[in-house]
Amino acid sequence: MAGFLGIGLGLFVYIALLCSLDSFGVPFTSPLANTSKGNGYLLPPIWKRENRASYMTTKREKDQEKISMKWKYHDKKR
Amino acid sequence: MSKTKLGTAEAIMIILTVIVARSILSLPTDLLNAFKSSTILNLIYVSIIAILIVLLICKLFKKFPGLDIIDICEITGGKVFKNIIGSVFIIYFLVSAGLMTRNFCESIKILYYPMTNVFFIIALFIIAMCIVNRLNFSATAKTTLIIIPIALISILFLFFTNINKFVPERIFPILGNGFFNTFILGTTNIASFGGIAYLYFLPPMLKEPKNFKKIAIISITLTAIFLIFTVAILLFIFTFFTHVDEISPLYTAARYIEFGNFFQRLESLFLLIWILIFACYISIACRFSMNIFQKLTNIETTTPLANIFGLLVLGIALLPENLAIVQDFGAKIYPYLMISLVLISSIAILIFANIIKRKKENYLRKET
Repeated sequence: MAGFLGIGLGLFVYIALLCSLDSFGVPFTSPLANTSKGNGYLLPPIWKRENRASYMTTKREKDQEKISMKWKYHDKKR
Repeated sequence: MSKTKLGTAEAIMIILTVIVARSILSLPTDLLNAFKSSTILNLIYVSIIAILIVLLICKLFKKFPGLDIIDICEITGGKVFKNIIGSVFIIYFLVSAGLMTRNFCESIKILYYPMTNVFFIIALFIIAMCIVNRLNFSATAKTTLIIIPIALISILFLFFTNINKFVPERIFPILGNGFFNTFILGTTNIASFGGIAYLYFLPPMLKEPKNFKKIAIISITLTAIFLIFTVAILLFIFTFFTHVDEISPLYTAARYIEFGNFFQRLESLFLLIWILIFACYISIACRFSMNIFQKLTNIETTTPLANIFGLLVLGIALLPENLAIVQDFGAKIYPYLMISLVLISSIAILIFANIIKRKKENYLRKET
């Protein structure tokens, strides 16, 4: 009925409805529309991913220590 | 997880929505008509001023962590002052959203629905907005976070696909209509940064209020880059721009794209993205108005307000008799309204609130 405009606005409402849903507290559109420390469109290298994804609302926020590759720094000291 | 608090990226995208929506309409044409070949230079100059203003706003907000301008008004001038400023901001958001909706819908009418009454086109936007505003604020913010990056990429795409039609010499004479016009009269061009108005209401909505300064600076810088790209596309492609201002100027630029034989009429894709952006913009403008109204009246939830505010936007959008009046408002009244309310009055309130707070602190220190 509304043609091209209807498709556009329907898509908008559909995206918004998807964004409002969540499953067990985790939003449906999580990695896409819930960017937080290192969990957005771009991911840092594994050794730099210190925090767990914030949308998971985990009890422990940290995934690994700040300096995970300790040997790298130990080697430098020697 | 909180359903009302915003992340850093969401907040940045909300501020960007305003400028993206305005740049689809007649803003780039208005700028080009006023400053001719010096538009880019003027935008760089105005962007620096805007960043300085935003830094000042951040500094003024530093003493009031987690408070927005409505709370600060209550501290400064009591409940009456809070109600006045809150109402003025509600009117500002609704009027700008309503008139921009009318402008955009008239453009869509010219392009796709020449026989349809503009009321039905506006009504479709309002229905979509009402449905979305009945959901939580987080849903609107996340929708913006999905749609706005697409819009930014689409502008870059428009820039690079048209690059073979660019005539870089059109930037000369570099000072356009002269030094006075570019740097003195051109200061009013700061009204292009309409997103600053939304900055005043962000602090209580943020998950991490300490990121406010970062959000403000990144969003204004991205706004400036976006505006420069938009204006550059039009300046480098077209020679004399006043004839194409009846419809969206970027749409005219999108029609110039030649991308092989497979992709014909690529401008329709752009229009689809712009419809999404525009729906996002009016939802956000309405949502902020609803939040201010909630603060003024202490109501429990904003959900029932969605339809009422939607109808208000519809009413305002139908007020002007024709497109010329709307465009006149955008070019002549809106900039001064924005400068007087968002820049002068609000910063004056913040400065006044800071002075009062400092006096109170000094008084308490003396007593102890």
